[in-house]
Amino acid sequence: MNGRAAGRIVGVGRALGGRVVTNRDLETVLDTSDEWISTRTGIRERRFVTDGQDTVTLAVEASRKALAHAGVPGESVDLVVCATSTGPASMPSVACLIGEAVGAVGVGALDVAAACAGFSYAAAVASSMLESGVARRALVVGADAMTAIVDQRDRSTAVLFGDGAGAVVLDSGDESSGFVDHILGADGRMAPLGYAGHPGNGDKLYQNGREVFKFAVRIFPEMVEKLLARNGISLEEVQYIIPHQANARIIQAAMRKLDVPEEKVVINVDRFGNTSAASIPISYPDIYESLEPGRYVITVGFGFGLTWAANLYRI
Amino acid sequence: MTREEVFEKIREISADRLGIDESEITPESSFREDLEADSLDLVELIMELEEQFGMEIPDEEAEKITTVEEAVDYVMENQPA
Repeated sequence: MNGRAAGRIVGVGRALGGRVVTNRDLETVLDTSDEWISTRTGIRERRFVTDGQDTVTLAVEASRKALAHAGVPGESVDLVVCATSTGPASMPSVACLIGEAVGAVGVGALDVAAACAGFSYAAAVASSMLESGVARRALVVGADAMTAIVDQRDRSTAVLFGDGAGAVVLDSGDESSGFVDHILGADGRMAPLGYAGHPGNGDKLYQNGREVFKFAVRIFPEMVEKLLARNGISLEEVQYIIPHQANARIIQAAMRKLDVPEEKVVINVDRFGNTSAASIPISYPDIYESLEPGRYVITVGFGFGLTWAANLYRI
Repeated sequence: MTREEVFEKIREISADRLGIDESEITPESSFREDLEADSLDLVELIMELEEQFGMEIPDEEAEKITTVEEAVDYVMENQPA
């Protein structure tokens, strides 16, 4: 652990559903209130897809922006990994379609399904490929149009989710900057705690909110502490923690447990809601320019499955 | 732990978690009505009790705990030997 760094982030981008939906908007269609939603979740608004947008178009838009930001052509990418649970079809994968759209064809492309922990899993997969030399430049995307699998009439879940995508371009780099450690975990015994059918399926998203909340509040600080301990790093050396944006209350509870100052923790659930696999990469554009070389970023995902994953990244 | 010690501990945890003064908390205080805890506060409080007192509180039991006194009762009856 804490050896060579692999997978240096050289470009970031995001795309969001075209329609801004505020809590007030939801008040008019659901038996809910702005006060209830904001105190229980920290969410003030979220983005929903508009006509012509779906997981694939969001993923492609975020990818194009990340490539442009990196200043590299899509043709130079030799691995596309997309974390998603809302691909419009079982086949082809979203990653194949991203590759086609950006010109990364004839190279490795795969989707990673790990629910809201998806991006952390995808980052682990891609950076391991870069470390092994199987790939040299990876496009890693987290994309979910959650409205495709959420029942918009269910007030307990409809208020929580949003649609978006985030992408990062990872280069092999010079081993000084990149991912240095990952934690991956899953426990299928807890599968009944959360479920959602494929897009188009009548079985919409269900969760045991109480149990999922407890799980998240426990696993989030546990993973951060584990990464710090086994890499001999102090919290001071960490510039940012980017948690999955499920609910501000989960993030606040974990911060209290870790005793982390607020400015270290990236929060955008208030603007975007829970965008599942997109919630972590969606955060990068807001912090990328402020990253300080030598310090660390910890990304923390947790989701249905149950799944959990975290990454330690040296800037 | 004596009943008094358990009450003191629960009062301390509740005050800290809910951001209120310990003096506002009596055995009769209802978490929801008097201390204005919402459902997620209660989940966090139960988790904190589990940690502090080294016990597992099943959901169906947790739902019956509505006042500080009921929390004290539960801990007293289920303290690890």
